[in-house]
Parts: sequence; C-alpha cells; structure tokens
Amino acid sequence: MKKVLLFIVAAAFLAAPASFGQSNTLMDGYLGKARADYASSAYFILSAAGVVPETASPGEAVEKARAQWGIEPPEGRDSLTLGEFSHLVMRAFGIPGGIMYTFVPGPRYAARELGYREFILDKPWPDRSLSGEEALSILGEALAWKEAGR
Amino acid sequence: MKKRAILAAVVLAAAGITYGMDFGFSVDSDSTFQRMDESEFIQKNTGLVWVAADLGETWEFHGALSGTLSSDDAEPVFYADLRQLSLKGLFETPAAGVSLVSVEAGRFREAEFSGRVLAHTLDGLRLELGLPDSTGRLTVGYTGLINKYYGSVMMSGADAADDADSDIILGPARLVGTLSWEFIELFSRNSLNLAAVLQKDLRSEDTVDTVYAGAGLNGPLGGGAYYDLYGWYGGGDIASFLLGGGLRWYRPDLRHAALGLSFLYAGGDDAGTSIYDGDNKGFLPVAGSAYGLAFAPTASNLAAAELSFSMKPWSREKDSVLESLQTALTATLFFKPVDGPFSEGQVDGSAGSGYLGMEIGGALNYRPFSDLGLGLSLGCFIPARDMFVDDYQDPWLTGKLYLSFSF
Repeated sequence: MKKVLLFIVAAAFLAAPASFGQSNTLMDGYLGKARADYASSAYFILSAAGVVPETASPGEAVEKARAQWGIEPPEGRDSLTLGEFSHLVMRAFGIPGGIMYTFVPGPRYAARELGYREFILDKPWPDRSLSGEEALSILGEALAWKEAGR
Repeated sequence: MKKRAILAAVVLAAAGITYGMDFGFSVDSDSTFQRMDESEFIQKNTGLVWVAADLGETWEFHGALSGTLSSDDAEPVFYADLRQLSLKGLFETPAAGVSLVSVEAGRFREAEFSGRVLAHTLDGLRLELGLPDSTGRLTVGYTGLINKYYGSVMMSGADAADDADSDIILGPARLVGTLSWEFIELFSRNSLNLAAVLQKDLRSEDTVDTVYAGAGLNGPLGGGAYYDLYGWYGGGDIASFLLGGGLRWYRPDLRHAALGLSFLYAGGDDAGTSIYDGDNKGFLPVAGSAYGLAFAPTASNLAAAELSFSMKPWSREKDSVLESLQTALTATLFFKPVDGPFSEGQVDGSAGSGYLGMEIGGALNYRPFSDLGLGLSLGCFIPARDMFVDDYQDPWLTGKLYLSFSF
C-alpha cells in the first residue's frame, strides 16, 4: 500500500513534462532523507495540491504558504515536524478538521486529523520528525482523498 | 511512584531526550436511563489525560489517568485511577526468522482473541514475538491494584461481597496468565488462534481458581461474508465449555450495510446454588463480555443468539453532516440451557432451564468530527414471565446517551 501511494505521488509529479527534471531530482533526494526538510515538503505539498505550479521552486512554495495562510517556516532548523507537515497538507488540500482544529488551527490538531483519517499510519504525534518516504506516503493519501472528490 | 514515572517522562520529553511525545485529553459523558422494577437515571462524566513518548529508539512510554463523577448509588461520587502506565520496548529483527520482539511492563489492557473469557486491565508483563506468519504473546498480570469501579472481575462470593462493600476500592486479587498464538492467514486467508488462560485467586479462603484453553478460526467466505468460530474449555474449579461464533455480511456499496448472526453457548451446572459459590462447575469467565444492554448476563449457563443489522443511510451524501451516522438494530434471544444458578438475580432461582426472553436493541452512532463522537443505544428486554421473579416480569428498558470529546 505504501509503495502504491509513493507511486501515485511520483506519477503525479513525473506526469508534468515541464517539471520532470526538477521534480525527479528533488524527489530522489527527498525520499532518502531520514528527516524531511521544510522547503522541499512545502514544494511537494503545494504543487501536488495545485496551489503552486510544478515549475515553482521550494522557496516560492514556502513564500506562498506564508502569504496565503500565514504559516511560517520553523526557526533554527531545516527539518519539519509531523504536525507542521500535516498543517501544510490540511491547508493546501482544504481538508476539513475537527472542532479543535476549526478553533485552533495548527500543527497539533492537523496531525490528529490526519491520524484519524489514517493518512498517518505511524504515531500521529505532532512533534516527532518524519522521513521523506513517510511524508510522500501521507501526501499520497491526501492525493487519493482529493482524487476521490472529497 | 507512578506519578513520578509520568513526571519523569514529561521532564525527559521537555528536555528533548525523547524522540517524540504527545499528550491529550478526553471528556466522556455517559447518561443511562433504566426501567426495571423502578426507574433510575445514572449520569457519569469521565475525564482522561494521556501522555505517550518515545524514550529513545527502542522504548515507548504510555500513561493515562482518568477520573469519574458518578451519580450511580452503587459507586462513589468520584473515583479515579491510572488506566495505563507502561514501558514498551520494540526490538525489530533481533534474530533470523523473527521480525519483532516486544516487551511491555506496567499497567496495560489485555484481551484474548474472543474477548469472552478475558478482556481486562492488568498490572504485569507482556512479551510478544512476531514471526513472518504468526504472532505469539505471553502475559502475566495482577488485578488487585485496579480500582474496582473500572474493573469487571467477578468470580466468587468474596468478589461479590467486596464489590458491594463501599470501603473496598480495589479489585479482586488475582494472578492472570495468558499464552496465545495467532497464525495469520494460515490457509485461504483463514486465521487460527490458540490460547490458554490461567487465573489464580490469591485470597486465602473461598478461592476460585480456573484455567482455560481455547481455539478460534476466522476468515472470509467470499462475497463480503466473514465468519468466526471459537471454543473454550474451562477447567480447575470449573469444568465446562463455551462455544461462540457468527456470520457477518458486509456490503460497503449498499450504504455500508452489515448483516450479522452470532451465537454464544456457555455451560451451566444444574447442581450448583450460585455461579459464584466456588462449587459451581458451570463455565465462568474471568472478565469477558456477552450480549445485551438492558439484560446483560455473564457468559455462564447461558445460550444466546443475535441477529443484527447496521448501515450508514447517508454515507453516499459526501457533503452531508449526517454522512458518518450509523444506525443499528439487534434482536437477541436468551436461553438458560440447564437447571441451576444464573448470573442475574432477577431470574427465578427455582426456575429450570428454558427461554429467558428477547431483547430488541437500536443504536445510533455519529461522529460529525474527528474529535467528537455521539452515541445513543436503546434496549428493551421482554422477559419470559415464568422465568423471572415477580418484580421483573414486565419489559425492562435501558437507554444510553454517550458523548466523547477529545482534545
């Protein structure tokens, strides 16, 4: 199942000829990361959701998240937490949250929501790190959710 | 000591020594209306705080503390206990052919594969061995440190007396051991479970010691149909058996319709006077569930069959607020297979074996948000008049309204 989701994500990016070179290079490096980095994550999430074009750079994706939703990149580190990743996914894909997320939108309840929806198969703890492979698996679930017309 | 352990985990997490942690709260409200010989309304509100943390790459800490405000006359106004407090070590691929070994120590929930004989919190040690196509588990635990209002062990006259004594707050002192092995998809996606349960009463007199050996088989039948079948032999101070199983037919494409038919048989002792008197040879679980809401007897000298149907009527309306609403209907028939004692005192002690009655149940389960769950369950038990004592021969009603909010 995990491999299928990774294939969905890979196919979604590789299907765009203009971005083939950039996406392929980024994804190769991203998949091998023990801790997913914020800029690449923002790029994959926002471009998969259609918020930025595939030709955008990771930096442009970070700026878009800041400008559109006020989501600031983490200070003092390149990596992002599962909660921060989940928050970007929730915002980019317009996934509705629970009562607490509605009133206090942020990483904590975003991770809870994606855990409840079984996008996150491991522990849905917002402060833990996630690998590039797990990040793309979660993104694959979000893409499948979007494809199902939810 | 336990509070210190929680504090230590929180401090470790705050210091960044842990690899990750999370914590949360939940508030549950449980309103019950009962009408048997007289009407009664019981309100229980439970708050729970939990914490979980990775302590390095191998060990996990889990803790949960709950407190309950209760209007039940049989319980104190407030009671509390640790629901979980455990350290779990996960050792992946420690040896050739073994995929996982885990060790868990502390307070945790343990249940055998059927849930009919043992499903209870224990203080003890649990070892799991994961092989490519099977999983083994060995658990040893103690029940005597658990708040009795969160427990359900009831096997002897001394247990019943302690349960009625408001000065005693801890559960029965019993040592419980389980050894189980699950063979996953052994043939044609059918899984086999084998288990043994040992229960030793640690009281000095009027003890009830039991051992159980069980096997269960479950798997698909094709076309969305599934079955499960299990059996237990109970020995030691009892000498009887329990059989159970069922058929379930799922149709996700038909608004998540599910039709089920299940049965349970637990042997009795026609020579006994009470199932808790120590001489009873009929089947007696350690702490397991059976059937029913208004009428919920113990799986001892009991035969029951249940027909159930559930569906999500609005599951196709993807934007509807009622999309997650599940409706369920059940009809359960209860029988007393042999003369002799029965768990519920409303059943006439002089009545022999036979049909006890039927319960019609309905339920609504609704989760409009990931953090909010609502449930309404209704049960109406229609007793066989000649099997019950005078005040309990008219239909019994029980309604439960449940709300759970986590944050």
